[in-house]
Amino acid sequence: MTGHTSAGQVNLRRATPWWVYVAATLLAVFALGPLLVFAFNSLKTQSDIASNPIGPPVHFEWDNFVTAWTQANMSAGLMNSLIIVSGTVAGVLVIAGSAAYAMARLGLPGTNGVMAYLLIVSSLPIQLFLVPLFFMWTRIGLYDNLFGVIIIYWALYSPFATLLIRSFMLQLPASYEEAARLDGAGELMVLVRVVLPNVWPGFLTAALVSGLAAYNEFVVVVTFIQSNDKMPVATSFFSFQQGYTTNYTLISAAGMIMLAPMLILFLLLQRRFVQGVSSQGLAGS
Amino acid sequence: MAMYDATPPHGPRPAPGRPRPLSRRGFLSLTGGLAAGATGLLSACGTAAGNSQELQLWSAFPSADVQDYFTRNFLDVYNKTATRKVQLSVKPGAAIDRLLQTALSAGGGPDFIGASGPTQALTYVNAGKTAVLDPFVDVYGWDETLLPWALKPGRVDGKLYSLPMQNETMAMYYNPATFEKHGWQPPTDLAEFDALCADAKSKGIMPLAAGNANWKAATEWYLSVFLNHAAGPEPVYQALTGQLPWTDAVFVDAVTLMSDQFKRGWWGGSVSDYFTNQFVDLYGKLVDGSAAMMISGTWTFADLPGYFGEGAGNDATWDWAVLPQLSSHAPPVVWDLSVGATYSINAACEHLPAAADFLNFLVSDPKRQLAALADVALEPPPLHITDADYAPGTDPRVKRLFEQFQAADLCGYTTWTFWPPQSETYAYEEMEKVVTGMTTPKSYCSGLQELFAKELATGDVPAVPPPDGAL
Amino acid sequence: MAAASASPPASSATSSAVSARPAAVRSAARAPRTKGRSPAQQRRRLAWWFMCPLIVLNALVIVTPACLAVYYSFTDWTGLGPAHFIGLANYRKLFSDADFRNALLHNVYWTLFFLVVPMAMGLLGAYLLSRITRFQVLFRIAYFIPYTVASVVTAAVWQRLLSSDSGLGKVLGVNFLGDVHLSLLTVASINNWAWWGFLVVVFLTAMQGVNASLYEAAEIDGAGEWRKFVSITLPSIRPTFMFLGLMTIIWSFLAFDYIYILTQGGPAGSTDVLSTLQYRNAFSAQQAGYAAAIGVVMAMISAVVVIGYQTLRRRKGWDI
Repeated sequence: MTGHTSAGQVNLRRATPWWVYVAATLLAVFALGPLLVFAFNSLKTQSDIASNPIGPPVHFEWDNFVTAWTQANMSAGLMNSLIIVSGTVAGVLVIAGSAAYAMARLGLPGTNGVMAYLLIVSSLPIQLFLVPLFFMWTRIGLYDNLFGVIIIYWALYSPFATLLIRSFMLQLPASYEEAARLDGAGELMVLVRVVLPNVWPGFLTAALVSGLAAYNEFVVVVTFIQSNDKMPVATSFFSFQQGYTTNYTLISAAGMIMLAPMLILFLLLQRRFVQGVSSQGLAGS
Repeated sequence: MAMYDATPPHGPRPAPGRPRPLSRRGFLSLTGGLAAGATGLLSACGTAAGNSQELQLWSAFPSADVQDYFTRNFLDVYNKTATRKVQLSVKPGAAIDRLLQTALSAGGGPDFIGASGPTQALTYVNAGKTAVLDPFVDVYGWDETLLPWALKPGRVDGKLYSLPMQNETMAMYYNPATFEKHGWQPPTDLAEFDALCADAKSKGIMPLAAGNANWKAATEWYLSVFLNHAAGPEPVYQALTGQLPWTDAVFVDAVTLMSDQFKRGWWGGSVSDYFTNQFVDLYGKLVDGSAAMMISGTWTFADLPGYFGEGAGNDATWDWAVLPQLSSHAPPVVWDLSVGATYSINAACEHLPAAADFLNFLVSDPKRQLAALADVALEPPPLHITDADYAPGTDPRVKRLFEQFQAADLCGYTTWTFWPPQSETYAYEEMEKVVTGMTTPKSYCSGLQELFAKELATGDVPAVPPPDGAL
Repeated sequence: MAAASASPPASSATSSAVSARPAAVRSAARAPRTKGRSPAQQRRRLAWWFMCPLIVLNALVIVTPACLAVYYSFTDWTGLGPAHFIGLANYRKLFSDADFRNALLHNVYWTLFFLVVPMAMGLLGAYLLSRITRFQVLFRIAYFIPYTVASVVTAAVWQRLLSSDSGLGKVLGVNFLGDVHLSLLTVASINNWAWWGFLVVVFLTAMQGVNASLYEAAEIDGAGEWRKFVSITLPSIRPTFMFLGLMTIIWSFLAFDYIYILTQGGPAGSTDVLSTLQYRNAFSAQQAGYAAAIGVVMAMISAVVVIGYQTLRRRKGWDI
């Protein structure tokens, strides 16, 4: 009997060859090794790093984190990042979800053309827009404003999220929606009560992807945010690279601080994502 | 890889059973409400260009210490008695140019436009973004308080557009203990320089601690040195005023000399290493003796204490020497003139006299300037300085340099002070191709001449003082 | 399956319910919805409303600046002062500019690299994960984590690791980022480190959708691991694979972050790509008009790729 384990993987009732574990472990070392070294470096002093570049720290210099936190004003930075990320994700899901529904289900005329357009738009370089956007934003009053940045992210990340969610929606049989429509539901209700609960992995993926992008993005932020108290953590790095020299221990500490929230969020969301996908798989067989 | 990543697996199938109940349009209206609320909240937080009551100053600082010092001892002091206060917004050093450019081109930007030299200020001047400062020269007597050459590079077409804020020069730094250990003396001419470098290289020591990993334009520091000390200030002056083309043999030879020395691994240890050497490591090498010399500007004074001596946990010392003569064309001793920072006033500034007042504050009072020099090695503007002005705590080596610099009678021209902007960018960017062998010194020079001639023709070049009698 | 079995009864139930009602009620039940238009037409009109936010945003943030950029590409704008019309001069300059050809070539190399290395690693990783029973989640998390790290952080991590002062570069006697022959490959590899884990998750999800019975049948026929992978797994995930291939090509022409952070296009232009060339022209060379022209050319390349993909899709009948 072939079935799916709770991890969603096909069980062929054959023991996994040892070389698979070896190869997988090597890849894991490749993926995590550098970050481990980085973590080590965040706990060293500058002279410690010079003498011991890769190994574990001799004493644990927790002070680095405190210094990094205060010097780069990371509490404000994290708060601003939170605002930017949540604003971006909320907006992108609404915009992309509606648009995807229109393209997948509502029979939008010229869908192919729209898709091509969206694809092309996701392939345009941001540098092209920086100056004209700045010009416009200063006049509308969106310069040096977190919401101004959020709007830019909405426009940048929605096209791709739309295509993504649309493809999830295409997998859904139309019969559900037909039933709801015949019961008298309006389109918005159909979207929210029928389609949404079934394509939520797509929404989740779109949320994860655009949230991550918004969190790590720095070109737009550096250009459109002026006041230090509005800067998100992505730019905190630059405060350690002022002038001509860099302090690597502080950079490592700041990097760890910056990494932490996304990592934790990912670890939490990741399981639900997997659950969602694998439960679909269960229904599939 | 870029920002959005996603995939549409062709996997997900609808969950068995009925669709789960979700909050209705409530969720949509909630989101809408949030967005509207956020808009209101957040737009209230930010205005177009900051408080219009105060003058806006954008600046980048080499370190938190300097930033702190400037804020406390200059900005706060000025604001205490100012009729119109100045508000500082600190920008990352790597991004401030782009930020200024973006803001100015959109018609916004701060009241004070800071640049890393008169050359860079030219970009803004040529675009008409800066205000004319001539009316204030008489008001504040700048032509008397500042050194005679100081106002020249800030002039275009006879009008003054930027004020110099930092007076700098180039020098050779070394660790006396390292020199003693190997029996070296600071070189004074090319022969001695060659000998020292060759000896160091044979012992596995990096002859010159150089690298442009942290600052891509660092190549122009070294290029300026070669132009002034191998070609000589007089030819450079002639080239900058259009009397001599950059394709002249004297310049080709200077560039060839630089390229040869790079390829021999004297600058940075090797060409590849030059591109990745970070200043942190270079200073470290000076300290522990794995590098012999460092040729750099006087801004280095601010960095050195962090690596040498008690504060850094070692007992190493440093000293400086005059740059050597690098060919028989050039005079034996040349002091390269550099203006490391300038301020101009935004042409759209609504409070010109108040702004000029702050600028004047920044270039007056030698004692305050020199106190800054003593405390955080912040170089003073090109003021007339007497011996009495030096603060008691000034490092004697620093004082010695500035005294000699002030007394110099022959000056050289640094590319970031006296060149037009596009030529300056070409100079250090294309130089990378020369040292990696991707182009020849001859074609480099002809490309430079082409570009420079174009800029000279439009007249958008800084005024250049003659090499002698200028100081 | 509830879903499959739900549809026929539902529609038949509804239709029988509909036919059971008196005509007046039926039309009354329908009247508010159609008003003379078919439901499909109604929905189509509604579709535009649903598209509204996306369209408005797009027009504001993307289309308007893009049009401005196209306009500037025909001028000699320095980025600061006035812009004077100069016709096609910028585009003519593009074709004779050695720097442009250099950057374009590097984009091509970059694309080839990313079409091969991360894709192969992603497939390998996904395959390995699909065969692992214990700790699969842990491995998956491990592979994905680099993707969540910000590019500035990743760059800092690898710069130190590869340093010829205190890292791998010193051990191997090689300067990864400073050597003009190695720099592009090095930067691409660093980017790859942060990217391939994402592909693992993508491919793994796609692989999990493959019908298990296919594998069984192949095994009965005596197929080995490689055979199963090539003949079953790969073709089954082809839509995902093709889609990611497309996005890889498009994103490769946009590659900017890592190159800018690590080398800014240097040394000596050895890592210069179109986006860094464009950036440099816009912000340090005072050639914003020329930069705009480069941007337009980049957009046109993407358009060609997309259209090519759409054509392939139609011809071969794939769907994204």
